[in-house]
Amino acid sequence: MLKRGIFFSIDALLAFTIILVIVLIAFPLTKTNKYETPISRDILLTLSSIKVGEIPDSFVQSLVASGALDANKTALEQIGILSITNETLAKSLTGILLQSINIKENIGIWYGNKLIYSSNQTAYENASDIYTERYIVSGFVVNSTGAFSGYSARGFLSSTFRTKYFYFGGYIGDGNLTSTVDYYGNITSAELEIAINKNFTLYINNLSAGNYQESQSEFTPRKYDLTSHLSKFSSGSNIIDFKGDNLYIAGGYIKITYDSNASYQQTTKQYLPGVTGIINIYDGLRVPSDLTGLNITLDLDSDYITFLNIGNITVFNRTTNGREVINLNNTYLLSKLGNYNWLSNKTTPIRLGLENLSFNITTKVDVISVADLSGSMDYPLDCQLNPSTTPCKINDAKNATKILIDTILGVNNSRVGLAGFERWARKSDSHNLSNSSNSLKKIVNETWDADGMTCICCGIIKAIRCFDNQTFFDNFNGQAAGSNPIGWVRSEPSGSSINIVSQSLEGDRAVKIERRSSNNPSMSHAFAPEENNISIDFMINHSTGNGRARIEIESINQYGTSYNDYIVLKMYSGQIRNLDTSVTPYSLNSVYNISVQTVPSTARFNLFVNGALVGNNLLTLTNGTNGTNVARIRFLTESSSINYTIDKVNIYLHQKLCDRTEEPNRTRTMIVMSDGSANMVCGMDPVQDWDGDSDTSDDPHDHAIQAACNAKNNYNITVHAVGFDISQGSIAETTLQQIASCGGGNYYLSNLTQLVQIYQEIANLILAKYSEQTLNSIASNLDTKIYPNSVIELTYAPIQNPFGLIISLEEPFLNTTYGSFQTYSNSTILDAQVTSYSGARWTEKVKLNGNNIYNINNYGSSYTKLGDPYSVTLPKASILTQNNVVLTTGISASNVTVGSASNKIIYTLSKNFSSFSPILAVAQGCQWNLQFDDGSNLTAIIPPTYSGSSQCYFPPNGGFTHDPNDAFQVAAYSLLQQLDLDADGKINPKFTEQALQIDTSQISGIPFTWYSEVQIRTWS
Amino acid sequence: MSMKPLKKAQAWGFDMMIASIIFMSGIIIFYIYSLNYPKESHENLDKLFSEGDFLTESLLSEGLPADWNANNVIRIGLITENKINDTKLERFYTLANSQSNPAGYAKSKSLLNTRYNFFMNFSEEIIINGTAILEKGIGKSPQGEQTKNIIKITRAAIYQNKIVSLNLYIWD
Repeated sequence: MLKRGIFFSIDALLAFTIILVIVLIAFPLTKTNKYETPISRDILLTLSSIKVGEIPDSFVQSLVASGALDANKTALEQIGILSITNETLAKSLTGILLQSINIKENIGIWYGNKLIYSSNQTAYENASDIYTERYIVSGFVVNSTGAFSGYSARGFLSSTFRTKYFYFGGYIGDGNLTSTVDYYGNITSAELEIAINKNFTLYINNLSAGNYQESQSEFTPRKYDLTSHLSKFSSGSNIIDFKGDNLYIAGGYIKITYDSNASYQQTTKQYLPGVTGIINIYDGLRVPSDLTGLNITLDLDSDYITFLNIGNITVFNRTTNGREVINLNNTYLLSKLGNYNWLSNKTTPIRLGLENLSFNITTKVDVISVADLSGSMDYPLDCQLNPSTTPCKINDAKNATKILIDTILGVNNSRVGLAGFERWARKSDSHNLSNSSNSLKKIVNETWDADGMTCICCGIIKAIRCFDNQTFFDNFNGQAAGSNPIGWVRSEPSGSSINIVSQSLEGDRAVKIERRSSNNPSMSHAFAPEENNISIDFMINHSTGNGRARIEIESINQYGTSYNDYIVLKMYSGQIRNLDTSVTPYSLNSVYNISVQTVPSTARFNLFVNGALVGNNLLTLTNGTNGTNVARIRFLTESSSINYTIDKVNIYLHQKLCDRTEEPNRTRTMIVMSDGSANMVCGMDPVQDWDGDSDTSDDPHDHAIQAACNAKNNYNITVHAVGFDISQGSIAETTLQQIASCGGGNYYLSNLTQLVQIYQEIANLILAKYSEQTLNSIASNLDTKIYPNSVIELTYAPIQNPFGLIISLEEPFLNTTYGSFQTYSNSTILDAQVTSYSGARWTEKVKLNGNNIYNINNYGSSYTKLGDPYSVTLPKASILTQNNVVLTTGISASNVTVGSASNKIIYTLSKNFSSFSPILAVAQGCQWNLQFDDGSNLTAIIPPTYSGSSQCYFPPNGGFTHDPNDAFQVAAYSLLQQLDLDADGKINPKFTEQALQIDTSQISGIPFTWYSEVQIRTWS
Repeated sequence: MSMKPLKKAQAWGFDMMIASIIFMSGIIIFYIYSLNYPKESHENLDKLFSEGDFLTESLLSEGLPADWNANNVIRIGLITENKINDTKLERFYTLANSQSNPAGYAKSKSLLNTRYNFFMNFSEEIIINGTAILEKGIGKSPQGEQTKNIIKITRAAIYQNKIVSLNLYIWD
């Protein structure tokens, strides 16, 4: 009782103690107070009250005597002027003025954004409380003689700066190719962007300019920087040669920049490319205005009838007697063409080629979509519940596959197959090669879902099964006697053995399985699970022993984690048995050919011995998940000692899944898409360690790559691979890259939103490779020539030379069909082209702001006689402030598809870019850090004579751009603002440092004002 | 029923009462100490700073009249045209030097309208008649004095064409 009372008292004492501690702690805190100091106001007042001439400092007075400082200026004013004209001196003067002051406060003096003086214990950046006194100082500045002086600067982009494009046609072939590049001035850069079919060597004016790789595809050009070869160019006409094995260029251009004093003029000459090989040119005649005259010069050497079509009108059609220069003059052309109205202000297809050559127009394309349907494809999580959700990996994969189906089946005689894979490539997720769009899409729409693991090799093997029914075969021949059978998983417990022996049942080797004591040996081989009608054949000879030979045909469970018996055959006591049920007799030391035929999931099988049906519709083991597939064969023993031999194990589908009858001219392609790393195997060991990880046993990556190699090497299936939303450099990506590499195809990396576009691109590529513009092999030995001085000369009313800077802009397409561009205030469009990487297809239609500006169907339905422009002129009269362009391609009017995402709009405009600064105190300059719209950067010293360290920025750096009191900087900034056409803070037209010119002039006798806000800050 | 539960209850209640008294004492002390004492301290400091602000503003003014002297001064100020005026500074020194002229010091407090002691100096030496004064400042130095509360206010001023700190100490 007493103790309990004490507890209460202790509690109270503790509470009392806590309260005391709080009081003691809280008291000093509450005592602390901050009082605002007027010191900053005092300093402002004192600086504005003391004149420079009064400062008792010898250094200051010497500067006054020299005229560097104005004795009658207040210190505040003088520091202000110096902060603009001589920041260092401003800081020195302030330091001298405040050297006698002794205060404990943190204090800083800013003029504008320049810190001129500081005295502090705490960094300003760490200040918690800041007090600021502000004051605007301004005034006129006179020099030492008492005269007003100031500076003004003018900025402009060099008017001699030029960009010029030399466009190739939609298809220029086939052989060695030549292009003409003419300019007058000093070249400053050169770039090549082309879609070319093979590696090539480039020559500039007969000087070697390097070897270059082919482009990624006919729809995706490659850029080649020729800057290191500028010395090979010369002012005037330049010959650029492309040499290689039967080259063709499916669109592109040479782009040069150069300085020239000549005024801008629209081109009136369109050079035809040179071709040595087979003249096969698809191009366009670009007329930017009203055409009044036309003259064509052809420098030809062709023993074959060569034709030139403008639109659908043939203006030339004959052979030449050796090399001939043929002139088609205006009178002749006018008589052929009727008038020039239909050629004016537009692009018209022109075709120069050889008569009576056949083209690959009978396309037969087989494409199998091998698509990842693993659980990770349901991303974002559960997005597959709503099929319209996108981005959603599985939905996008479905959409991409449907685009593939539509595009491929758009070409007669083409077929598409499906092989979705997860834990394995399920029959329900697959479709034989078919031209039935509905049937294919039904599988995609209704069966494909995201679940399970990633068995890439299963998908590839499923696609291979289209063309080959062989699943697994091993007759052990050639293996070393006494060794273990290669590629089999074995278990050889004590008292047992499994060895290659030379007592073959056929050929030269077999496997002997022997149980000598109480332990059972086993050997098994897995393969990609099969759900189709399958046969499992083997030869067997039970030679000695009372034990049992046991042969298991197994399926893999739905999780892909364990094998279960599906069919078990046993041989013992003179009977071949279904499990233990006798089926047919056998004898020791006799060789039997046994064949099991089954369709997994039917729970029935037929047993053949030596070709005779001995068991019809026998029951399989059907427990749980058994029997949905056949995935492994296993030989073992049981019960007692036994010695038996196995040979010629052969597992095969009853028929190929797709091509039951061979069609030799069909091309085979598969597109393997995965969003992750392979994690299931196909029993393919031994295979090469493709991924180099030293894992050579059941490595899923090795199996996937090996399957692709097999597809290419054994079945001539080109394997393209698509990494879907995977990390660059990951094992998933390297595996897919190796799949594409070994499969002879291309690898594509897609982000979450690009898959449909990439499938479209691959489909275009597959079709284009075998489409119409490429000549077939029959014609490949021809030797014809057109020389590069062949030219089309246009006569039209020249556009008045516009005032202002000429700049060329490029706007990439937003997707495979659509692009947009805008014009800018106070600018004049001089030329606008939309480019089309149509591969071996034709650019079919171009619409500008909804209006047809190009339609190949206007010239006929048989495209092979029609040209195919790479660049199509956008009529200036139809160009608005905001413009959209839609472009489609096709091989016939009834077979139209999208174009390339690499298409772009290239336009040239004139705009007056110049700027002036007001009269300011200084004109020193700056080192400008500039960023262009394309993300590139330029450091430009403006003016070039500037040697200081001031840094200026466009776009701003931490809010800072330039000093508003420096005439050079103000003029440059004003000019840069104008060059930011779309006001995104970055400069649109690309230019070199030399092109940005700023000049200045000192203005005497004109007063100029300067101003600055003085801030005196104290902080704690 | 036995008596044990009753005894336990009585002892429990007695101890509760002692505990409550101790606890309540703590609460009362807390309120008296934390609310009253700081308040008093704050008030004193606030008064000193307020007085200091007033005095420095006064000293950094022209005074009244603008050309005041010992005979006509109404309010002491040291500034003429935004600078410390040497003449006014000398007159202030003569008037308010507590060692040589205790009555004058008392008068200067009256003229400055303060009941607190003060002492003013610059970050530079004070020159009177061409000589630096020995006192190092004007007024009553707090050095060696029993001070209860003391504050220092620093301002900037132009003295002999230099920007200097003006330090004013006030204490009670």
